[in-house]
Amino acid sequence: MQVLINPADELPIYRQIMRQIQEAIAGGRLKPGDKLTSHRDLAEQAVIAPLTVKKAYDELEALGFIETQRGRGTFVCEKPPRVSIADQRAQMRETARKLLSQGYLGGMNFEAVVKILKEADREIAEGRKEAS
Amino acid sequence: MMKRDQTWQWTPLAAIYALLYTLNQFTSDLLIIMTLGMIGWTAPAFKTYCTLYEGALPIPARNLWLSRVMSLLAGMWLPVAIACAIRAVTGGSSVVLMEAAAVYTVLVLGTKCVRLGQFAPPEWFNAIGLPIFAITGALLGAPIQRILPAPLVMAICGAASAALFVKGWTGLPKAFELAQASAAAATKSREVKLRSRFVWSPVFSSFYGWQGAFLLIVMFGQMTLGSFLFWFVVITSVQVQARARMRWLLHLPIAPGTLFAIVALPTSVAIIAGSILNIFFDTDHPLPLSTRIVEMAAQLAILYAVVIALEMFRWRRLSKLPLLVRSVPAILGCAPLVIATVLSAHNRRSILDDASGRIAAEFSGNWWLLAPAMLAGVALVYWAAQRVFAELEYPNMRITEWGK
Amino acid sequence: MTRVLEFEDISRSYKPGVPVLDGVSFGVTEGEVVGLVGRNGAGKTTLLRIAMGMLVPHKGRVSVFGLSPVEHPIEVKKRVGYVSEDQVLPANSSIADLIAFHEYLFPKWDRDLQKTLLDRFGLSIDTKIKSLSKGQARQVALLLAICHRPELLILDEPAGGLDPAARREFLEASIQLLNREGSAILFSSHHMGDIERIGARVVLLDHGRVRLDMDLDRMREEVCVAMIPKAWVKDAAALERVPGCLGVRDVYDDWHAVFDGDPESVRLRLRGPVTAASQIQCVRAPLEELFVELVGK
Repeated sequence: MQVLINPADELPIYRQIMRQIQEAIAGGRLKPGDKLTSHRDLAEQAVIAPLTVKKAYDELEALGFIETQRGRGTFVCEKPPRVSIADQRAQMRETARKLLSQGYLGGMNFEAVVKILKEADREIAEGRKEAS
Repeated sequence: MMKRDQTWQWTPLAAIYALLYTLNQFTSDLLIIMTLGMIGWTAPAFKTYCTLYEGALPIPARNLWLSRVMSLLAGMWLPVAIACAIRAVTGGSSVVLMEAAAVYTVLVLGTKCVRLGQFAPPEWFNAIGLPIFAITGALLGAPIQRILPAPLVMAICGAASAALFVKGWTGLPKAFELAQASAAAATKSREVKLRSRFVWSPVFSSFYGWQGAFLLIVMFGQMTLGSFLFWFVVITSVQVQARARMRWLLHLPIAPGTLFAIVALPTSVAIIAGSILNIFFDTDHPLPLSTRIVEMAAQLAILYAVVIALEMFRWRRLSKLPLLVRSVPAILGCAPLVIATVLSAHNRRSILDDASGRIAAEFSGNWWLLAPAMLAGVALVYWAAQRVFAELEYPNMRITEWGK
Repeated sequence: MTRVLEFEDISRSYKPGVPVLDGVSFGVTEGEVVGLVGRNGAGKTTLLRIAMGMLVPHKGRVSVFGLSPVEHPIEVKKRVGYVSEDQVLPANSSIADLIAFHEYLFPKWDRDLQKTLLDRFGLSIDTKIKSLSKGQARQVALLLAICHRPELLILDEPAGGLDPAARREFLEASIQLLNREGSAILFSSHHMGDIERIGARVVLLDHGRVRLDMDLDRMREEVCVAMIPKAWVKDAAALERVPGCLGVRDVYDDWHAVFDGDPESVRLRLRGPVTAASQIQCVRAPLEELFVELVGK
């Protein structure tokens, strides 16, 4: 898979890579058991330092999204990682707050934001359907 | 604007040399002409009409061209004027000098009138100029005098110069094209003969190139005439340029001794070979063999010493001192030579010949002592030069492009 | 991790009393990619020349692989690759000649990488240097510096004057080296995007001193720029006294102050000297903006 990074983004490059891989897993583009590009090849393709890619891979492995099998490569884990419910809820609440603030600043009300959530859900479902 | 032109900077130097040479009555006109021609020709500024920097400024091309031409002509005529003035005082004909200057003018204008639209005339054009000048210089002595009287030569040159000047002046564009007319595409590959892979070839081709080889031949030839002062000028200018062109090697793992050898040995070989040839062929030379051997060793030693004196201001042990102070060794290194030249003129004999004679007399023909002593002396100076050379600093990497 | 390059309190002046470098200290570890930035004349080239032994420091020490490049030039240069913007390769030599020469000097030559790079750059091995464009000549210089598998690669504005595609190819070649050898790279550049792409750390030189020496990831997350209207604070000195302040710049009616810290904690710190600190605009910025804020006028 490819990643496209923005070197001037305020998110560190390794985080950008992590996020893109996580999104790919969430959206179904990367399925459990899929092999990821080696960190060296990804570095050459995306023109970023190999150590940065390695850092991203290491972090994802620590979080339980991917695993490295010696001599065979890096693969998406069969079982998704068990994030603690409390952590998950806290993270999502923060994202939700950002989303709502954006909407309210734009003059929307709560129902309008919910409509947008439904549209996004539909997009993910379609994406999953295409991938499978 | 002429002041900033690089050729103008050579002019005082050329004037001083002209002064010295004419003071020494032993130097023939040929030497003077060749020297001045060399200085002018080897100055990198000769080839182009203006520097890239000037070309980009909003100055009309005419002014640039004019300033460049004026500088080059002044570089020849000013020293010649000085030489003629001295000759007028000390007695002696200055006709040949003036003829040579006239020919030089024609050549200069000739090279400056070609392909005016672009930055510089084609390289080969400049290349043949030097041999032409050398040959005419050699012929300008007695041979031509019999065929063409001097005033006629001057008149022809004057007319040709005027014509070329007009051609150049009217042919100038508003501004020079600064881009290279030929930039090859990446995939174009040249037909290259299978050459033997002498790994050091890039080094030697960058140092000496074909122009350097030509100068080496000239030096070699001069040695067969046995003149000392002439090749001093040429050699030092070649050495300094060669050293500048070696900068791309500075980050490579080459021993400083090797680098110095690359810079010093070819010219040393030229001197030694020339001296040996001189010894063999000039059988009725006034000086005895031992003296000439000593003189050769002395010339080598002086070469290394002078080249280093010129580089001294970049010696890292002196790097904390201001530039003016650092330049003192250069002056001190070259001063004895200048003084020796002037004194030689007065005594009617070369000081170097005298000194060599005296040293040779010390050994009174004992070859077993003379040869090792000379070897040791030269080796010592070489070693010292190499040590200093290894400790030179390189604050910038700019190379004066020779011929570009 | 061993230090492949170490500058200790380096000082150097060209004219007495006018220091180009004034107490510069930092190091590069094995496999690290460090970007060196600064305005023209800040001393970057001088520093890199000191690392290569082409200049000696007037004060301080430099050590490359633990050795002094002045006393052990050959051992050091065998393991270092160097590309400089003003390097001029011999015009009449062909690429093949130069490669043969470098192969002779460096026994560890990597023929495979050489072939890969020649293909990638689209260069024919028989071309003479004088028929190459500036960018292509620079690519040849990079190839010659990389293919001998150096443990440390020093690049002095290698991409100066190159178009973005050529710059990208340059970076790719550097990454090839990183992948194969895990070399350390110290490169000076004016293109912040390149440094942000492959750099792990950035060192900012200003008037011969190290103004900033920070891990890039940390800089992205923990350095921000606060824009404070001049009316809200007494003077720039009050801002400079706030802990974590890296620099203050005068921009029309505002002070732009660069702080080490995230926006929230910076606003807290500014509560003292600044009225209405919680309303201050405080943003994270890319390297180019930080550069201008710290060393611009």
